Amino acid sequence: MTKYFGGLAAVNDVSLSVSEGEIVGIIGPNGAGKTTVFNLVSSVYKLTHGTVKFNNEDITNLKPHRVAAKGLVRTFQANVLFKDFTVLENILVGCQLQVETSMFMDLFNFRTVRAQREKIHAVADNIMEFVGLKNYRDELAQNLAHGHQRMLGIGIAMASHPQLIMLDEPVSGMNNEEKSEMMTLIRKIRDRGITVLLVEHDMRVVMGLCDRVAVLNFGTKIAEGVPEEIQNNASVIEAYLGADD
Amino acid sequence: MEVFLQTLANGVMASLTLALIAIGLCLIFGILSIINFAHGEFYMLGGFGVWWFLEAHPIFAGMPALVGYIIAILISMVVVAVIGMIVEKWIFRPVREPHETVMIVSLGVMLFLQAAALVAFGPVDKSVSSPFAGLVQLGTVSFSNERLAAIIGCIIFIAILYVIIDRTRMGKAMRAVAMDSEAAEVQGIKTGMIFSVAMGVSCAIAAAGGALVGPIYYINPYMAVEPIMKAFAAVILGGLGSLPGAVAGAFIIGLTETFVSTYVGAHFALIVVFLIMIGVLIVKPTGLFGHEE
Amino acid sequence: MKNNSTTKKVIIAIVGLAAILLPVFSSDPYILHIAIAILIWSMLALGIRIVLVSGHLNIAQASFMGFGAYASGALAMKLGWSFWICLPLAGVIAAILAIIVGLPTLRIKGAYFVIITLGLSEVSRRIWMMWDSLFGGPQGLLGIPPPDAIKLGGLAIMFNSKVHYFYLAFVLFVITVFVMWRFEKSRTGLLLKSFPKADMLAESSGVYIMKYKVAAFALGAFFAGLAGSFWAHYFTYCSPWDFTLMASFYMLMYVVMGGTGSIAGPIVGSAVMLTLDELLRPFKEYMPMILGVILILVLRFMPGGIISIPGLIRDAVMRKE
Repeated sequence: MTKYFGGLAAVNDVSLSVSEGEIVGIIGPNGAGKTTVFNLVSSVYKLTHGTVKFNNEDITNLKPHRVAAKGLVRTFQANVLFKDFTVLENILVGCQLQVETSMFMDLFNFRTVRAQREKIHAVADNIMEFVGLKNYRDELAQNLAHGHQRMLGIGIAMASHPQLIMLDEPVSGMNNEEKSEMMTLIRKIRDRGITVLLVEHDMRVVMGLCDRVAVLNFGTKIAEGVPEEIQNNASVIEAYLGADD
Repeated sequence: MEVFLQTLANGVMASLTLALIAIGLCLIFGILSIINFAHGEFYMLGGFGVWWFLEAHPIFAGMPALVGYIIAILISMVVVAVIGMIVEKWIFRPVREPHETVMIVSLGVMLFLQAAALVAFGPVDKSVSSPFAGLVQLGTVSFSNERLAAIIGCIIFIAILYVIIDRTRMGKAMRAVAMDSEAAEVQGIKTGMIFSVAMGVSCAIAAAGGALVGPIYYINPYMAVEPIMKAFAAVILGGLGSLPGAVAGAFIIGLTETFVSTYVGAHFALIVVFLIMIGVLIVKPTGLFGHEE
Repeated sequence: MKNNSTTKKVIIAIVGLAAILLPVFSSDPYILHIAIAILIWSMLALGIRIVLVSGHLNIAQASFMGFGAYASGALAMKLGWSFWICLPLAGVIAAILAIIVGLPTLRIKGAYFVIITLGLSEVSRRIWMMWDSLFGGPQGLLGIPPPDAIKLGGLAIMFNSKVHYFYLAFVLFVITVFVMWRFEKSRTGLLLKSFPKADMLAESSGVYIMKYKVAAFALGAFFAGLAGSFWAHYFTYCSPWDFTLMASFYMLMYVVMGGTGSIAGPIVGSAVMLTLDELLRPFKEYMPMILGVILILVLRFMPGGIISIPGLIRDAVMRKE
């Protein structure tokens, strides 16, 4: 699986390729363009130059819901959730790609519709268990603790059974215990055969999880390689020190 | 040729009055983040204001007509501004979030003001005699003085507004709030007061528009229904956050509508305006001068 | 929780039974007329609600009703088609119109959509007034034929008394409520409700937002078209002044007053407001003002509408304990 992209002013000529089964991290000081990269791939923003390819298929500027249908799903930096839906309802929205009946058929409670509802609920239960939220099934999303809300966000993304999942700062705002739980979850995701691309600030998490790391600064890629190489890379250290002003 | 120039003059006048309403809409949206559907009613009330002071209760009968007229306009503007500020503070502000609620509330205010005007003034069209009698001759074409006066009046008000927004400290504060109300608050700007001022100014110029146009057309409680729709079209065309855009949009809509109205028909003209509005939203939703969110 | 659901079912059963038996209790045409109005306006209010639920405010519902009415009337008068064909066609025509207007406008910020519906309200009226040959101009269509008789077995039900119209309206009402209820309970309903909360999230989960929004809009318009067709053949005339922005706004008010939280809201809102309207007939002049004030007060102090009152009472009682 390979992807290339190159960008607009916020992201200048960035190229990245991710292979199946990897966990790849993108790091960089604030404002380096990391979330923009996600937005470009998932078509929230339009690419000015370059292409995005997924499974050897050009998906550049495809509508966001179609990108998801191709197997590429993302989470959001802020806690974007359906705040006054329950956990179950949140996950059910995430499951929409698994649905086969049409809108019209759903109006009537045909046997096929009912069978489908069973199937989707089973998928939802599976996901909730996977992210550890089974006990909060009927709890409103806004009442969850921050860490659990992040898990829910991942659960929604997982519900569409993606091939590649893009996690935007998965451990932001978490304490150390929650961060370890998240790292375990991400490894479990990879073990399920899903490729992971993540953006993160927390170095320990990135170094601990990722097979490869790319570093962005001011919209350009300044380094790429395995975690150890990146840790010792001079320009990377400079970028971070410089940004500390 | 004569018809063309006449239409052009009418179009300019229509555009300028539309601009006064559109600027107000734009200000309210930019600074208060409210889509004020009731805004046209302030235009209507301005028209009734001059009628009240010049025809129904002519207290300026002793003075020269022009002076009386100007005073009537100014008083109307103040009264309407006050009404607007009361509406903003007590009716809009408490329900500013979520956005849909304040929209529906503004529709409620629109309904209320129309009905109140109907009860207070009756359904019969009112007319105001203009202090500007006579015509101006330019070659073979003649323009009525009253239309010319309306055009000049609109330009004066737009100019005054420009000075306020661009050159005064108050204007600077308003622009700051429009850009980021939380940041402005942190900098010590009293956003509550800015909201009131913005609303007051917007309603005042809308009222001015109604007052200037009053003597030329008839005044009735429903006179704002068409203008508000055109004003919205103008603001959409220009871009919802841009003041110069609102004026530009007002001219495009005003001129188009007037010309189509004269050469084809009034009903058809409004349909054209509507189609322009949809067209802009399809092609460039942020308008001519707007910026992407 | 269980009590709630059984109570609801009981209430629905009682109200339904009372409604069906109404003509038995009172054959007063005045009362029947109000009942018909409540049923028809509920249909319109429900149409507005489903779109509101997906995050959009539609103030052109009366226009869709009007196009349905005019389409039905014109087809019956000019082509001699039976009411029973004109009725569903009216709904379809209104729905198609909604799709045409909705496709370019539902994809952008909500405020623009409202402005467009505002424009549509005005433009519709002018279209009806301009197009003399089809819509009869400013006077409208006069002399629209009432529905032709239904023949069941050997019996023919002629539409010559209010009772017949009442039952027809009731059937249309029940159909509307059923479809709206199913629509909302289905996954489509869940999706629609998710859009105002976080549509980006729904989209990145693979949901094609426009499909659902346009469908909801078209559905609301379809029932408005049906209501319009009924209206036209019930009154046997329709004019451009029957379907104005003010009418749309009244429909919206019924939804808001009743409460947007459930299907019952628009129905309760219509019933209460129309009854109030009749009771306050002597004050006809002041009605719009009173309504405007009530609307503003409701939105400020009781945004959930009338149907939220039991909940509010329950909360107040529980807090006291």
